Amino acid sequence: MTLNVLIIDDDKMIILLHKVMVARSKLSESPLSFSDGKIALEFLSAEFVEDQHYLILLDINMPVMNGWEFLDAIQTMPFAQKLSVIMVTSSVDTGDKIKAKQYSQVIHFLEKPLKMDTCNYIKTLPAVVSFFS
Amino acid sequence: MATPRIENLLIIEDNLGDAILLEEYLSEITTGTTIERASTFAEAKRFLTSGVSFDAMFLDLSLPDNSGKNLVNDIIQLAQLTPVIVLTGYSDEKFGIETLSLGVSDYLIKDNLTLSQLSKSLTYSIERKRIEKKLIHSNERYEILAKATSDTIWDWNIGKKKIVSNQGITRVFGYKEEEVLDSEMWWREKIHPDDYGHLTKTLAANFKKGIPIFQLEYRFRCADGSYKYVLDRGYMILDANNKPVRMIGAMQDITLKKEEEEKMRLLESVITNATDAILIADTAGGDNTIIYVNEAFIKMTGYPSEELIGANPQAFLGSELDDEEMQKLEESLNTWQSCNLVLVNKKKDGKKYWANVSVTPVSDAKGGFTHWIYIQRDVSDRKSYLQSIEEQNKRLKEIAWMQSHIVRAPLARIMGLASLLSEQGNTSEMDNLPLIESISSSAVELDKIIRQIVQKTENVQNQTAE
Repeated sequence: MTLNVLIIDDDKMIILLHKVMVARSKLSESPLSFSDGKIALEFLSAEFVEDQHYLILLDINMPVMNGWEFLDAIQTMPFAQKLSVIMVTSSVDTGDKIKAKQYSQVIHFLEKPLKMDTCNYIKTLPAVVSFFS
Repeated sequence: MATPRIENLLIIEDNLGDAILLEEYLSEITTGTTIERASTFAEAKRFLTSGVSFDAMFLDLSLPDNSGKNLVNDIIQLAQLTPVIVLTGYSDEKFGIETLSLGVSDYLIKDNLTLSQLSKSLTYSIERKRIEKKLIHSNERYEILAKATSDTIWDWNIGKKKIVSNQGITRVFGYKEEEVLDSEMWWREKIHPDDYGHLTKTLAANFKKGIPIFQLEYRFRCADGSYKYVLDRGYMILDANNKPVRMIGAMQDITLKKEEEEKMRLLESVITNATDAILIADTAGGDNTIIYVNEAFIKMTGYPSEELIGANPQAFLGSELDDEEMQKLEESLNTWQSCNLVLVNKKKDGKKYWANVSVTPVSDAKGGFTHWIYIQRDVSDRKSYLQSIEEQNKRLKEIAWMQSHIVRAPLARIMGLASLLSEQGNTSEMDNLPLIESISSSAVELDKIIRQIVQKTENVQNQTAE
């Protein structure tokens, strides 16, 4: 079983930065990126593979389908339990943190930018730790 | 002059001849009259104490058991208001005249008694006594009345500058009887200096125009130096030349009434001048109709008083926005409970305003509810102030959101790029490392500031939410 890392963010520069960080920290050799929740959802619906796990670095504030809408949408999908979501947002609003806890898929809440040490920390989270031991 | 109807006469005469002669005369000038005769004082006394009411009596001055002045006095006392006509002889005429001062009505000389003389004497005596009786009754009535009323009744002899009064002056104003003088001056100096001019002017005008009725309110000084309000009413008596000679009147103590009036005036001015709009509705006849609105109500609602008086107060309360509050009012009106409402009322020009309305029932002395008082305050300013604060809070929230999402997004990029660059480790670019670190520390500093701003706006929101 492999871990696929999906970066969902409308900020191209952030995608570039996060891709570098994810690759460098060996969180994933080839993370995928999507510019909004809808495209990511379409990808998952089409390409989802049963025996694989997906770690999603999810931005909140995006056009078309924002982070919350994406979370709401995956709840009824067959792969709902195969996803681990880390909210990665520029928001420092505590309300967002509280709201994120209501979703069972959300395993962590990070503020941008992603750094090397936070990437290494992600590897230790219980939901994904098995992929890095 | 017609002879008055005579029922009973008494002849007190011991000489039978004289008595019979008198009886005969009397029967000629009267009809259907019972004539009794007593020949002694004792007998006369029996008649006069028997309860029979005599119209008049004839008295001989010498009886076997009583005579002269003594007899006259005794009989007068027994006769009370019955006229006594004395019978004398020629020789006694002088004494006959004297008896008049003892209270005898007339005297007749027996020896030359004529029918016309007798008739005239009898008629005059009875008539005079009748008038005297009336006068006594009238005096009695006055005395009782003067005692019954607390008014000070006065009688002013204008020419002699004298005033006499009843006990009111001692009872009401506290003067001792010996303090009260009958000089006009004594009375005049008791009038309050501020009222004196008006009083003398009014009197002078009445005198000049010959207006007999005088009526004036003024202050009259009491024995202790304090003043009482009096309503003084008098009637002026003119002489043949239309010159006022006398005035009789009564001074009524209206201090309590005045004080009540003063209090009422004060309370009324509070209502009239209040900045809160006040409305009073009468519930007589089951309807709720406006009987009073103050100036502030007219100003606040824009309705003229003609359109308000007589209308139902509900017509000027609430709008389509206040179903719930109006139901609360309905309940209060039905159960006679006071209530406080916040309503959006409409002015006459249709403009809406927020009003805080308190509605209170009023009961009469017997405890029955008779009126409603509505006091309303325009709270539009306060409402709009609250609204503007709420709007400001909303904007503040928006700013906080912008800080945390939009401003921080490019900052996050800068921070990410700086950290990426510093981790490159490319030796050729090592010289740039301090510069990259400066960018990084500046970005971190800016990040701190943004976090502080967001924290502050969150605190404000939490406070207002509480």
